[in-house]
Amino acid sequence: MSGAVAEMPMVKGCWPAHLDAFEKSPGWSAVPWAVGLRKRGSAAFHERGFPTTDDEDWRYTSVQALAATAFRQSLAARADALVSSTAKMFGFGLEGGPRIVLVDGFFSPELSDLTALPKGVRAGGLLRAMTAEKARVETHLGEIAPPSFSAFAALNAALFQDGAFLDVPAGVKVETPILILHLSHESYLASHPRNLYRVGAGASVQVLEAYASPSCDLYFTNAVTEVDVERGGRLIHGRIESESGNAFHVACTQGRVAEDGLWQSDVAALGAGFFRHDLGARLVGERAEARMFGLTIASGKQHVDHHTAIDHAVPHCPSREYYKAILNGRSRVVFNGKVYVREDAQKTDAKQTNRSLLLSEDARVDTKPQLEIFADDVKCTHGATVGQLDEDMIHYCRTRGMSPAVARGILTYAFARDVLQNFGIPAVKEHLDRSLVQRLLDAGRGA
Amino acid sequence: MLSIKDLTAKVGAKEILTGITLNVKAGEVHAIMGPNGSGKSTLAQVLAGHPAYTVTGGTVTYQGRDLTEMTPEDRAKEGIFLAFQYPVEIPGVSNAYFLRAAYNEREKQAGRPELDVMEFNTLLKEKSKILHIDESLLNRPVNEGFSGGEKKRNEIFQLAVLEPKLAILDETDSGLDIDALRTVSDGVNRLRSKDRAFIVVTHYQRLLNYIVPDFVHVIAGGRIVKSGGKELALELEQRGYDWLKPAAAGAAR
Amino acid sequence: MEDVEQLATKDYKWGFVTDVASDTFAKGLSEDVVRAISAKKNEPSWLTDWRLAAYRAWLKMKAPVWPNVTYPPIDYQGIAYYSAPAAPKDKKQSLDEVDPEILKTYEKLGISLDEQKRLQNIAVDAVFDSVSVATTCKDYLEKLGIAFCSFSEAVHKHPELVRRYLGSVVPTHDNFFAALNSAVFSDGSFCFIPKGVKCPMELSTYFRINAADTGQFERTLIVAEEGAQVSYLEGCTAPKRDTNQLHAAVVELVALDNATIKYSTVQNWYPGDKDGKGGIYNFVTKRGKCAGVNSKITWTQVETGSAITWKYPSCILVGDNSVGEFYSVAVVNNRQQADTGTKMIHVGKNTRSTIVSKGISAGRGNNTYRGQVKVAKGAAKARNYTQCDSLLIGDRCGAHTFPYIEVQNPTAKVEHEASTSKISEDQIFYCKQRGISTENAINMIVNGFCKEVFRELPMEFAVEAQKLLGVSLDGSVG
Repeated sequence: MSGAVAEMPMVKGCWPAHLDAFEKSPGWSAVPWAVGLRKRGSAAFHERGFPTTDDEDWRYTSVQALAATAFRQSLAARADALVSSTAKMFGFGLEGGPRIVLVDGFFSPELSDLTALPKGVRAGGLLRAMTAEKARVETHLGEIAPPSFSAFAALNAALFQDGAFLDVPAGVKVETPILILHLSHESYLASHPRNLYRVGAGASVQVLEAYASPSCDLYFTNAVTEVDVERGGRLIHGRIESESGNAFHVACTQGRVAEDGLWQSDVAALGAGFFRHDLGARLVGERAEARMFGLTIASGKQHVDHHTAIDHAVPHCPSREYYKAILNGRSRVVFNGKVYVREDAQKTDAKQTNRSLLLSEDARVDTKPQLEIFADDVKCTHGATVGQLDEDMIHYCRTRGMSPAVARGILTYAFARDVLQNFGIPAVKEHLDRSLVQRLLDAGRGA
Repeated sequence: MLSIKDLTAKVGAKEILTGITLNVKAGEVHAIMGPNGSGKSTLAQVLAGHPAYTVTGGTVTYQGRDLTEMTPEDRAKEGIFLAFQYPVEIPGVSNAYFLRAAYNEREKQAGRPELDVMEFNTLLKEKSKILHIDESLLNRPVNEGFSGGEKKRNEIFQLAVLEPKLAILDETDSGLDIDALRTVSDGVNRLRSKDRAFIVVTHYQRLLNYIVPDFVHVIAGGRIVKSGGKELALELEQRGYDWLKPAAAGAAR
Repeated sequence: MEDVEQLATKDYKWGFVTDVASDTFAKGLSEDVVRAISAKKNEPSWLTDWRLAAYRAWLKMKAPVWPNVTYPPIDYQGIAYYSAPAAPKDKKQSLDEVDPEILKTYEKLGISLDEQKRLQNIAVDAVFDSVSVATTCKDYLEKLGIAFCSFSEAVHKHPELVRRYLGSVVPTHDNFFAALNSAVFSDGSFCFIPKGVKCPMELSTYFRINAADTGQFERTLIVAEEGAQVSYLEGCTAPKRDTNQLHAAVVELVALDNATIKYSTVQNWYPGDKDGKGGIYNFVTKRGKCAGVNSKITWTQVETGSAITWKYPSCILVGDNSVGEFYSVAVVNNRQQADTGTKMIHVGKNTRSTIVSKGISAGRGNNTYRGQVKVAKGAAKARNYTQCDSLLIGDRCGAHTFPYIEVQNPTAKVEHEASTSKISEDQIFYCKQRGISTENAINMIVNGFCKEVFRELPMEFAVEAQKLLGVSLDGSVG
């Protein structure tokens, strides 16, 4: 909030070289209409470089280590036997269902299975869709999450080579959840996957966007996801970040929701050593609804930063946000949640809650919930707490015969479940519950 | 005291009152009964001047004046009191402070001297004893954190302090258990006098076991479809409202 | 609720100008000006050097851009940095020597400087533009060992205390405006409450800006030694002028073991007219240090004036078991902008802090709460509770809430709650049904909204604050 302004040199790291190399490769102009977007991305990055902690949006998150790492770039996709077996390792409760698999940022037709999707649903790789479905892609790509959003969004706009594309036409209800799996398995590789999901009027679909790696390598995923929910559409959008503990994962997920539409984002932050997620919803039609649920489990030296924004641009829109974090070790979690109520967005009903549980001496939480309100007839609340397990509850458990360690474990698990139960894809919720219970019991116990 | 003739009123574009005619004299207690959505609460709100309701026809004369021309606060200062069905919470403003402001507005209107804090507190204490109101209630913010029963009791307490000429009770019995109902009714009965009229709006007959009315009117479809003595309420209790519906339809024709 | 819009706009009644001869520096700022201010006050060389160091630091700094306020760049060479009523060369000794016009000014503002009126149980230091013109009850307080005088006087009478504590809480380079103040501060109040003394009366300073095109840069320092207690009040007004004037004050509080300081402000600087013309830029750094164990600092502020307010009265809770409190009502109407809040920095063990902020936005006003709660690594069992409520009146105003919560100790517990509401039509109708006018209903509801803060104010101030709130919101839309 104060202090002298330090003049920091602008940091760009290995990226000018990546941009340069890509510009000279065939990939840059493989889709001619996208060259403009790439150029805007490149220019925006050259102009601003990486943010520093003087930048209000980055005050608790330093990208120094990320900026200083020399990453490799891959100019072509590959899928080998190793990948094919590892892809099967990650189902997140959606085994056997439709899946779009990407490897190091490239769509893999071999590993994907889209046979069970209803008629009319278009799903697959973004690159292919940019040509085959040009009319459906061109109007949205780079429009919902523009390159100007951040240095990382700019880099992605310039350097993305592929990603997932999903288009559910009006009125189509997709019953089975779709898994979109991004696998990383090359050390020191940087990938910039870009996803676009369109949900037509009255359509509904459940998507789980998952990022995972079989390795414990250092690599960098810089993802951008654009979401468009049309009138009365419903998108339940799970997002599991389960990257390698040494990975950097930066993501920008932006969506807009038309009238009577719903976008629910369920984020589980479990893996990467460094994770930054900018999640933003614009409610542009009346009665459009945004729900954001988030669970973070951090330990070791993990750094997790959630920046969320809900923009109430029109009247009568509800939004709900509930984020929880459990911290162990020397981990650090940042939550910055903005609720923006524009002039005339009367009858907005926005509720935001953020709770953090600190389990270790060296963990640190920085929370910044923000309300920006320009309309008077609104109901907006936010609450934030940082603390530890309730001693009365622990005592209660002990009077029922539990050891303090067991009590703590159970209460930690309960703390997480409280937000998990809101997650919208039942199979994923059950999977997370099952797979996290031991980790949570151990975390609470101090193991 | 109050003369309503062919009153029609709407909320938004919806006509709710379709022609109410009712005369209330000082000292009388009129019960207004009717099924949900019949317009009985609307009548109470219209008499108090709620801005959401528009009078579209007919006349309302109160003490010789055209009531519909008066602002809500002028009506109050002239002695009309509405006990709200859903009393409003005003955080941070104590009951005592709120009541003194209201009381002194009325005194000013009547050309009497305003009461200072001490004088008014004495008055409040007396009234609270009569009505068995816990004094701690006086210092709590208006209706904030009150239970449903406390809110209704507080309305009757305000009624006792402000001593209106015409008191309108809008479903004061809803949400009350039998003990609270008795307390509230006792309060009202103490306040009955030959100078004061009551309009008691209720869905159920049971309140009228405690507050015995002189007249009972049944509203359906936005107009009074039947009037009678207190025995009409008992008949309604036994037969429900359905048997009156053809009459309502007939009247509307 | 149209009738609410028709409420008459009452005027800013403190907006008159006093006609006194004054000794005012030419506009502009340089090392020479800093030296001249120091020379004017006959300051020791260490203080001149301290000012110069601050000035040099300031030159390298930039005005903060993070506050949620907008204003054209300030021309720091367009301000006169010193203005005092022309007076006999010697410092005034008694009220008899104060210009009667100035005494009249204070009477008109409702502040009596007459010793006979000590019944009010308030001692007053009256600051007029850049200097303190009178301090009441000084002798009485001196007998108790309490020093209450103008800052300039303290520099001479209590040099060792001033030197020890000046800048100990707000260092010269703390921020842009604090650095500017450190270079050019002209006067202010000094309070020192020695060990074990409970100050028997309220100490207060009344700040008045009178001259045009001057800035006011006062500096207040309050030190409460072990076990001492003091309650201090400040009030402020300024004439109505079309141009903006800068007020950049620094307040430092130091509470040693078991000491208690209660600091209350009713800030009513000229807010500018309804179109946003004129008004004071109130850019203030206030900070208290709970240096000792069990010490306590309470900030209470009612901010109704100023075109722009930028201030964060803060507490650094160093001593174990120390307590910091911040109670604030900030009102913006017409084109006013406020970015205000607090910082609670928990350093010691078992430190506790409470923040209650009530923001009221009306007209085209923009109100921002910005607060930081920081729990350092060693602050075991630290507790913070923050409640932050906004009330909006009209649909062209804005309310913003920016809390920063930074926790590095797992035994800490921090709770933050915020809400935004409006005055509902139902509330207004309910009041009207009881015979209360719309104007009174709004006043009542707003005062109810602020109650938790008002009850922290000393009695006389609370009454004044309630009245002010009514005036500030006049003409606001419903």
